Amino acid sequence: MAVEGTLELFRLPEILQLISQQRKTGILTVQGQQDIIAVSFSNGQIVAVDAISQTVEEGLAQILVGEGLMSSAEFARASAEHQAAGGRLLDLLVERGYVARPDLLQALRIQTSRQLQQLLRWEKGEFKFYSSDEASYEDGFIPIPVEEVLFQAGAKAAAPAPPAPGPRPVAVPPPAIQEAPVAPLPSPDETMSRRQGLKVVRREGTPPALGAVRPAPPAEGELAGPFRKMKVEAPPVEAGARPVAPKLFAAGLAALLAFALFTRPEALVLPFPWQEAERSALAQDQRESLYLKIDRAAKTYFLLEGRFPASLEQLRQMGLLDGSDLQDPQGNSLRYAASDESYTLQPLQGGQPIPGADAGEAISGNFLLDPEFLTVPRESTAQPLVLLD
Amino acid sequence: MSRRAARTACVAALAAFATLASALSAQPASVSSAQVTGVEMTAPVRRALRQLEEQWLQWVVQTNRQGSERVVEDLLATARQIGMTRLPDLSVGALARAVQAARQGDFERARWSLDAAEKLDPGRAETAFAEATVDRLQGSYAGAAAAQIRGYARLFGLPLESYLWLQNLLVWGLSLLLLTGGLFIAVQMAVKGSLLWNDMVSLFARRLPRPVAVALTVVLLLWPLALPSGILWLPLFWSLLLWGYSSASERAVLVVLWLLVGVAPVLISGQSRRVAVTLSPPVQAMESLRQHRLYGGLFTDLGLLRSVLPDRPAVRHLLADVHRSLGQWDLAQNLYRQVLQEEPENTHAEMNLGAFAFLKGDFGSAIQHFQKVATTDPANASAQFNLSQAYSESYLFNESRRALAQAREIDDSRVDVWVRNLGQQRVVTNSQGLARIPEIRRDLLASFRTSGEATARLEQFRRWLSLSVPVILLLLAVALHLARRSFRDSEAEPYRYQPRSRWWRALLPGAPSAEVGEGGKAFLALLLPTALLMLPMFGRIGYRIPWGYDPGNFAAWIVAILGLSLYMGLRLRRELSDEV
Repeated sequence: MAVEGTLELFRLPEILQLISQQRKTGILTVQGQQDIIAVSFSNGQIVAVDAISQTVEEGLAQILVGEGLMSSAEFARASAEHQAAGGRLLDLLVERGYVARPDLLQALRIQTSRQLQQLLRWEKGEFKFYSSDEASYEDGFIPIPVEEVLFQAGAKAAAPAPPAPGPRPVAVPPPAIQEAPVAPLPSPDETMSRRQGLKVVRREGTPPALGAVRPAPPAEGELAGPFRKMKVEAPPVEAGARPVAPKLFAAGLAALLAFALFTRPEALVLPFPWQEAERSALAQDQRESLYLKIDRAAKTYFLLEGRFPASLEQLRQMGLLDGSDLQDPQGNSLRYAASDESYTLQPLQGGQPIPGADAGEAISGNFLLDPEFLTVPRESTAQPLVLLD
Repeated sequence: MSRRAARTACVAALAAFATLASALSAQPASVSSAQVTGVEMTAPVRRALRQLEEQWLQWVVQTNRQGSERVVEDLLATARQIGMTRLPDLSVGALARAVQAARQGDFERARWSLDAAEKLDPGRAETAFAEATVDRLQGSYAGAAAAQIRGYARLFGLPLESYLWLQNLLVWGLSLLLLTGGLFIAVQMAVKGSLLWNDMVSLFARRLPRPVAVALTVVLLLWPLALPSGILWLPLFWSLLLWGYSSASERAVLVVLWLLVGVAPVLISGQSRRVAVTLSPPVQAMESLRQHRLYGGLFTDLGLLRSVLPDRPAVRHLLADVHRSLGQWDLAQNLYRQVLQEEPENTHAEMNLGAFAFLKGDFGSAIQHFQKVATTDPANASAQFNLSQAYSESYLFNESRRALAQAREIDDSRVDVWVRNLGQQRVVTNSQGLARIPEIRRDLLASFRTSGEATARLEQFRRWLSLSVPVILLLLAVALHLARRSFRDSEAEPYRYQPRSRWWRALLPGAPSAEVGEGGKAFLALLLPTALLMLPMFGRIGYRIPWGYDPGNFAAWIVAILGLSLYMGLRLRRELSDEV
């Protein structure tokens, strides 16, 4: 599904903001009078910009040399090595130590920002946004929020015109990059049809071919697009490129935590091995609260029936207890035994009573249940004297 | 220790105390022994209690609303004779009878039984829960839902139940935060673990064959499981390892989680002692007295209080007030005198002694007591008022007028109230013994589960050990971070953005935020579904609330299922939407 229109109808900042607000992933292509620019989004943030008029390497070379990160001679040497060795120029620059990877990524970010600023000056053209599952971009590239781009554009518009427009002057000859034959401008549809459903191989697997410099014949699984040349492969292969063990470990940890929650919830809040005494005290208090609940229920039963219930299940059926109250808080079953005037409770672990965890109650001491509790002497007839507070 | 065991253990103490008390006070023969009834009872009080028992049996055999209402009025009138206004045991009995009747199809009986339950102890949550059951059995589901909601709204009317509910909230909340923290670390491992894995394998593969490096990585990642409480150490260890791959906000979340792990045990240990004291029979008895609730074991539980804290004047003062409210002035007088021996400045006990002398007709003694109070506390309006009454009875009318004028000068409005009630009450008494319940609770807490000095020091050490864990973790994280930096040319990227599939993001809360390093959002995204999943466990992982009628867990399940469905639906819609 795509959304398209003209820049006369929708201004670019509005389009960018819309994509950002909806956290969309996909590609926005804008066809102007002189150029076509594709902006890749991931979760509403900009992760790559490609222009048909300039390869990634060309722009990058300008920034690396302009920022003093490489000399033009070094770049020319690297370019020559790349032509001999093949692969990706970007990887070669890092592997041969010409530039540190964080610097390379930073340069890529600067280049992307500049291309975006250039794009925002366009007033005429057509745009088309394609939503997709994934966006392809250089691994490690820190996404650029749309707000940041718009803020920079606003700041530039407000600032006085610089004496020398454009990036820092590059006092070096252009890098030795083999010229590509000029191709006719592809339509956005053509471009998109090449990119839809493709995924970039990341550094963890085979290095991605970000802007592979010159058109070697596309290998199997490699797509040569006008914006960026990407080595692609089917999703299952890409999934295998990431180690699965961390995900399994993570799932295992989640399962262990869930298991602990259901079997030993007290171990969540009292987790340290030296807190056994505190865990026992907590378990004892939890049992006491359960025993109090059972006691109230049993005595309510006695109040109505004149005896204790034969089993706890009877109390549950009357609604006085919940099903979970038939076990102790640690999940041990409760052995209940009642006589005429008393009952006992004993939690069982593996069929054996837990020492010190038993309890018992009787009607003695309860004036509503125990007929022996109150013995009224016959000679006493006076009414109690009561003062109101 | 169970309630029965506690009672058995204190029988000897009660016996000794009762012997001592009887020797001191030389009670009449009709006064029951504290060994039998918890607190001494005169025959009229025992007769009133017996009457309650008999009236309850009358209610049980009632077959119509009119009869039920008459007996309930009688029950409440009898309770008022001994200074009580609520009968919680009987209220629960009535609502159990209501549900029983509804299950047998006798909805008329069920309704008037519910009304009886409400009158016997107004405002109980259980009555509303039972009403919900009756409504449901009768087919009125809207009524059942309304009654259920009313029940939860009434929750805070019951001191023990609301206290335990709040404690459960603390346990549940801490469990939720810690569990969410564990899941947060699991999500971090799922999202960024591949980086950690690759780095570790690459490190070991420099010197070892790759299969060995992989095996070593597995062992290194999982070794904390071999430790005692491995389920704790594993996420903590992973959080340390992932520290270097985390953004600033994720690190902030990790630090908060470490602090929580250290603080939670301290909070729970303190709570455990307070809950144990609250669940103890003496505290339940005191709370019931405060609300004038008369339950079957009230007096026995009060007897336990005296055996647990035999020497505390606050306990004697409380028991004196209990005896006074029961109309047992002779017994109250002895206790007030004992209180004054230990607290000579206790004007409240002095005042009640004066009131007793006044009621006996000993106006000279009454004047002495009231004068003593007035001297100690010149701003005490009730002392001046009582003095005016005692002077009046002694035909000292001028002194009486002066005292009354002085009382009005101190607090005219209260004097007006006392004057209006003169027909019922000639002198003013006070219940400051009941007001000392918090003090007694503190004493109980201090004496509860006391241990030797060595054990106390060990406990203190363990507590500090728990608190030191977050500090140690933080130091380790910083050390690891610095060590990692020294092996790199420059600052490592806080994370490497690796978007996953939409289904991954939709079905795993927190993963999208973790991918872009938004720690707070990732934690919150996990918190909500975890809270909904844990909702039915509220009360199961804490303390059981001793409801007289159990509300069940149905409402929690409904909220959890609906909430989770809505949450996942919104996530799916947001993550899987194709259109801009």
